[in-house]
Amino acid sequence: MDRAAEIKQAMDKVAAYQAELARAVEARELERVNELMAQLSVAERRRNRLLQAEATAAGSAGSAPPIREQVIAVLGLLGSPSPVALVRDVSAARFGEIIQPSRLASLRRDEQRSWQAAQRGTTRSQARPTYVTPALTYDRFAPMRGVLALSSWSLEARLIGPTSPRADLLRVIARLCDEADHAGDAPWTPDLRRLLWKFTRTIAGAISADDELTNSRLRDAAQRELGQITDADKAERSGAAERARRLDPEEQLFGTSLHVSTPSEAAG
Amino acid sequence: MTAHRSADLLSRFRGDFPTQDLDARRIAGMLEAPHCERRLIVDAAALNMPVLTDLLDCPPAQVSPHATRRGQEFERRVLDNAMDEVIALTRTHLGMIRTETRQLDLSPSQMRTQNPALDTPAIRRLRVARTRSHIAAMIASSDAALHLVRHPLLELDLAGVPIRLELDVLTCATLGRLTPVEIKSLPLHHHTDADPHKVGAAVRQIAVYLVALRRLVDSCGGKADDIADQALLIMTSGFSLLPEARVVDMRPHVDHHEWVLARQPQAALVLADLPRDVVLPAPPAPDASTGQKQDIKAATQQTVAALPMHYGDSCSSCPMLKFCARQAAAHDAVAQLGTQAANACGSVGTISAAFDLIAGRRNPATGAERAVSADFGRAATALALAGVRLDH
Repeated sequence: MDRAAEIKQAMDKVAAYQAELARAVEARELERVNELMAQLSVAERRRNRLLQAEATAAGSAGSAPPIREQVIAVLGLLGSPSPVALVRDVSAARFGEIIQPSRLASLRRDEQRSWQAAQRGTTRSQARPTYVTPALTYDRFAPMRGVLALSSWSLEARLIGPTSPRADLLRVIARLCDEADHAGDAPWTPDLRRLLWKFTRTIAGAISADDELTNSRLRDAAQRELGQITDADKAERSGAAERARRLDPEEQLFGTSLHVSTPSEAAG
Repeated sequence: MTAHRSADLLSRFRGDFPTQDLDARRIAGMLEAPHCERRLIVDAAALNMPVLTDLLDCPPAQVSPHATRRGQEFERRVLDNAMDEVIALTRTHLGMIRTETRQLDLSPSQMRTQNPALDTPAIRRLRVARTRSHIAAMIASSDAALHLVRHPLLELDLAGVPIRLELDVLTCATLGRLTPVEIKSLPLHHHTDADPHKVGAAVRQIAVYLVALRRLVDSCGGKADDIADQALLIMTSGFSLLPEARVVDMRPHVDHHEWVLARQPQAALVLADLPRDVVLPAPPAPDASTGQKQDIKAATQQTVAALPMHYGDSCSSCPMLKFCARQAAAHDAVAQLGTQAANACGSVGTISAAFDLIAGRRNPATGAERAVSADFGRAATALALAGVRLDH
């Protein structure tokens, strides 16, 4: 049977089970409903496998690279821990690749598992140069939800203190301004400028009534603001990094789940 | 009467009925009808309102999924990227300076990720405790104080029962005061401003947070001055998703809520007056027969009907409105005609009794009856002179 006929048959089977399920629900045949749901789920999985295989085979030129490669490329460009939403925006603007949120969800676990497998010795040769890791809180070294970093960055850079989110964002904006400067007439320039325009409104001195928005003006404004907070940020991060170096290597990368409660928290 | 006793009585009353986390909108709705003990108990027991209103044959709340999605998307945009939009708006409207960017995210999803070993109640306790410790540092203006806290969790005592409220953002400039920030996807138009009805609802909701904040600051040894009399309401610019903000004066609303809350009866006192068998049944299982469903519905309606209500104009936004309106109609209550008519009739509770007094079919006995008879008698005479006949 050729591939198209196989897909057609799998899709017909799903449709038939769905129709049968609707009838059973209508007739309130509960046992039959349970049985059909199990059969439907198997049929759907088979259909999805066939369709995914087809999509991968068909899209050789335009297909997206693996999710971790996309994320590493974007984080490499941004240079500082960044929120997932920003990673997705930059991926779309600079690389024209849409990162599906559902695929990001499993990335962290997959990366940790892959790191653990590489450490077990037998598969050490498979160790990757860089892993996508969560940024860690500066006080408890817990993994932060929705903030991504690269394992190749220093511990200080991966720890997030109270000033770090703003400081990192300002650093990222300066990096994006550089990228836009180098882009020239590249096809992604308009998208990147649109993304930068969003930030212009939120940085003091980046925009004025008589001046047109320029990358250098935005970069200068971001760096001016960064200059005012960077010392405090670095001091908190390096202090935290000193303490974090006592953790084992895995905890330094993927965070600790140890909960240390203060007396007031314990009292609730 | 202790909070413990209230919790016990409410738990007995609730039985196996499902609960729902309370939010400030629901508390603000309850405070709009301050004399209604029925709404007080339903909220203090944190009953699941959609399940309850369905069993009471009330129409479900109509929330457009598009509006919900728009609201979520707007909040995400405002809070993403290290709250850069909030920082920009607080600089413009609240005078925050450039170095004031210290922030923390206490939202449930963030706290769950950071503390995977803790269950939901422990996460809540942790959020309340961390909110408290950070607010104490903020009012002490310590060097380690934060300037922006995302989704802090505040506690408020409602009729003897502690409830928890989640604020969008709490800000505090080093030289400023604690100011709540609320994000609402209401369109702010440049010519007509935002819908005053919806802004009013948002303001009443923020006032609930401020009441909780006042109690918290007080318990941390702070002063009333540590909290601003204003809030920042972030809305959308027209129908876009770009944020714009307005500073709203909160003092009258907070004072009103404080006044109402101080006069709320304790839930335990209300429940102690009820017979012990006034207990909600568990809602019907999805596969229950029609007869079983009808029985449970009837039992639920009977239980809720046993809670004393105060039906009036302020009930218009209550989800149980239809149920109470039907009960008022069945009892021929004067309250159906509005709060003004009910006040004018005093202790003359039914419409037919009032008409009997007006038409002279009954002699007034009490002071209230004499007043109704005289006042409405004069009105009836005026109507008769104008050619209107009263057929009741």
